[in-house]
Amino acid sequence: MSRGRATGAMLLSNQGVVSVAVVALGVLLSVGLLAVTGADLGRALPQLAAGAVGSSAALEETLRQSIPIMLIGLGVAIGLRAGLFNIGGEGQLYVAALAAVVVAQALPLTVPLLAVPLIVMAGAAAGALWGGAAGWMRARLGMNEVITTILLNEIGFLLASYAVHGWLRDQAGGGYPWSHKIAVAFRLPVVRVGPLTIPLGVAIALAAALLIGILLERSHLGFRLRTLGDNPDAAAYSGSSVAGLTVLAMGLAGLLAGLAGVVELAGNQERLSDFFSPGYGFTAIAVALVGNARAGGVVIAALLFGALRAGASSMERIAQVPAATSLVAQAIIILLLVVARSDRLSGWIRRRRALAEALDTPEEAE
Amino acid sequence: MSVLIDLLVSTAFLASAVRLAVPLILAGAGEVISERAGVLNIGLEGMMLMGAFTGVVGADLTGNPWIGALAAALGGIAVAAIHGYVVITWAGNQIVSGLALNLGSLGLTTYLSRQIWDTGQQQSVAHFTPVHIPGLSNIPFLGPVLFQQSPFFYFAVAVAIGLGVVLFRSRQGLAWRGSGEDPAALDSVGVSVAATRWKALLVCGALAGIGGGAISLAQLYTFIENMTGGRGYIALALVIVTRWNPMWAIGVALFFGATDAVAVRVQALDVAIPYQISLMLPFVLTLIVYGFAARRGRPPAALGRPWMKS
Repeated sequence: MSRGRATGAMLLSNQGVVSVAVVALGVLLSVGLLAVTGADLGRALPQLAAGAVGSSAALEETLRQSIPIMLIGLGVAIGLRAGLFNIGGEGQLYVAALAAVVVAQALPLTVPLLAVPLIVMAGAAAGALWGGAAGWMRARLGMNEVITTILLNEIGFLLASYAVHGWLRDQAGGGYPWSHKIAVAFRLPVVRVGPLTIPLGVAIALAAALLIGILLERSHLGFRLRTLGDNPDAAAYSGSSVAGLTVLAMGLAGLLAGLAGVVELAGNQERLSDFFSPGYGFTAIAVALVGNARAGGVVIAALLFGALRAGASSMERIAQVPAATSLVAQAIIILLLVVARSDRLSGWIRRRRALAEALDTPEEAE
Repeated sequence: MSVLIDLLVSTAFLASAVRLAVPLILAGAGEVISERAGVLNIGLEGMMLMGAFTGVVGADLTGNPWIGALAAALGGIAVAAIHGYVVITWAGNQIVSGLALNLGSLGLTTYLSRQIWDTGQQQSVAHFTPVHIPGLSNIPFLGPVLFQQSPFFYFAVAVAIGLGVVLFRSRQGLAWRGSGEDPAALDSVGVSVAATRWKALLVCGALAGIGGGAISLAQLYTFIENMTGGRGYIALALVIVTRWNPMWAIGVALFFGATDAVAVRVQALDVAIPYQISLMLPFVLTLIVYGFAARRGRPPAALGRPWMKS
């Protein structure tokens, strides 16, 4: 029953300090790598910081970059707590954005109050379907969700790519394979706070984080999901439907990734292209892990990685350091995190603590 | 329709199916060994991509494709070594480590290829051409399909069969299977589980690297960003279909190679199937075949579980 669900070494640990230290060390190592390969650090590094937090425009970019990875990361977190690995955020985001664009273009309505909920529902439903399908394949066919979500990523991306190269293509799009922009009335508004222009997506992502936090930590359903993750046999004995919970967890993760796709579409890019996601789905996995699969942790980690992404893309523009290096930085951060939470290191720390306590105990026996 | 049937039995199509199967045979057989020893290696795609890259660098620097192939193996081994350090030495989570290696390999090869060759269209490097096996290559039909292939094909078939023999008929194979089924028992008879898993993983890294090299040095003759395009993921699913038998990797890979070849051929034909849909075909078929195979085999009992001597 439980075979294959346990993912091996534990991944979650509530030592926030360690997580932040790991991210810092990862950034340092990546910078070292840049230096070794001959990048101009004197220009690149100030640009990394300036692009992340250096101005109100930079802060806005950091927020914009945080929204999709926060939403997808929340979905990954639900999966992790339920013992499931959703690597499919990328594909779920693409099919959701595709569904949203199709509905937005097909609707004869121009009344945003009627149209926007339909667009959002189309995207969320497409994402939930893409994620839920992986859950169903796991529950009914015994297919490992790691592999199915990876394959569904490729298929979802190619579907969107097909659409924007073909029937959705804006022929006047300057030669780029992308769709028409969605109607102005359907775009997400921005909120002015002092000097900052904050995209409404931030509020949506934070509201989602609050809801998911309550769902996971305070609701009966959350308890059942966590039980499934900790001990699937116990979940089955206590009357939960393992299959149902699996589909639900993956569907919910897909729904959140779908929401990310809609928000990114309506609040940022305004049209679909086959470069719509610069790897949001993968960054979101790092976000969920650094955030320890807790809603609050995911919010903080998403802001951190959003800043990293914003800084890296400004570094690319100004100092000609390819943004591909930010993929390397993410890989280094994730690997360090895996080591920091590995069985061997945590076992070693436990033994050291036990030893220290034993030595501290005054010898009263004599 | 008859056009399609003519196409599917043509020697050109079958020869290209065999050619496209080669990277999958190599990476698939390697992954079987790694998983048999208990190490899940999601980073297969990254190892192939790194091998494709280092292979082209090696061939470009020396002008010798054989040194390129060696460099491809070393590139795969380097990525596998990181995986081993994280998941064997530190007993870290195997799925997440592999995932990170895929991201890192994509980023690193993209970055380094732009550093080395700028962004312009790169020239062909020293590469492999088909080897005509004397005598056999003249057999009608079968000759052009099987005996006019690049050296990678003959190597891949030999390796898959050889690994099958090693896995089921040798002490080393017994140790690998023990390490994936019951590492504690293996340890109790005095064999190091860590060393056993390291060997399996490095074999897998070398083969995945050579598989990547087969794409860059025998198919496209150059390096293109993300040129493995998900082949590593298909190889990962293929392992389950083989029921963890490296010899079966040949047959299953040929099937997926054929779907890949259909995708390539369909674009050349004047049928109204868009490029993206034909690219999608191998992934959809992989999903379907995996769906049928998922419950039929039993994965090694300790697959994905870190092992620590206590």
